[in-house]
Amino acid sequence: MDIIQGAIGTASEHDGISLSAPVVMELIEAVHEKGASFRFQAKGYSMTPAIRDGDIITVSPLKEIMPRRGDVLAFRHPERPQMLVHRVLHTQGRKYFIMGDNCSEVDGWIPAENILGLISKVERRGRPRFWPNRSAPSSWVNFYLLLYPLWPPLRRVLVRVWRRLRSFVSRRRQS
Amino acid sequence: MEIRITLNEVFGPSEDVVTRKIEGETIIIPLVAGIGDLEDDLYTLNETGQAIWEKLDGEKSIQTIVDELSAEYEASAEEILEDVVGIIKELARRRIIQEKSLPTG
Repeated sequence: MDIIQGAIGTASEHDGISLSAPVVMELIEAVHEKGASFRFQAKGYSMTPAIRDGDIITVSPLKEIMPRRGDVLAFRHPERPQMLVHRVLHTQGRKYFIMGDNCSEVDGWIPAENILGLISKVERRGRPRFWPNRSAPSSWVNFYLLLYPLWPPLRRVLVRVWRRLRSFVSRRRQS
Repeated sequence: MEIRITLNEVFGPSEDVVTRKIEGETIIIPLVAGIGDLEDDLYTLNETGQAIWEKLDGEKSIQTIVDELSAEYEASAEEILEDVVGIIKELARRRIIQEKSLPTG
């Protein structure tokens, strides 16, 4: 008897069953109604490198959290049946000016009613990435959000410095 | 673990699941540690499963569900009972449904 068809996995495909963006959005809202978060696989490159294609992201209900500059939100596109996960650049009352980190065009001002939730966790290859914890505000989170545009280039510089240092140490050992 | 059930038992959806009927399909997401996980735990029911699921309202006993389905479908009561017990055991094992106590008095 094949009644329960089993875990059907991601929003895109699994066992021949696919979930469209409107279905995923409805499920997010249903899960948030119970005060729970929703975990699923991100698709696309618009938030690279902060969120890469295939990363597992968790969308949490906003509850008392007011989105602010630097936060990454999941939201309904105002004109298309599409869900996007992009970053807040400015806020004005209950409107958020949003854009993907890797996009050349802005999404524009998105009203609060289109916001599905806040990205609270990002996992890559089974390991959680560093991500600000907005449910427990701290000065470190404030600092991170204030300077978020600097982190990708800063990380690239640090990786380069680390590689050079490693190769220098390796050469010294060989000589 | 074998789950034993009797015909006068009543089952209903667990409080820790979210269900939605979307585009004709019943989708069930268990909430584990406050998270609904599309990657690990998402279930959908076939037509038979949906018919049984809709009757698992926390008020009807298994016997009542079997009687109602026997009146609605052209199948023997034995076959329906087997399907109903099968899905209830499976859903209970996955903690998607739980036993509800009948109101007293």
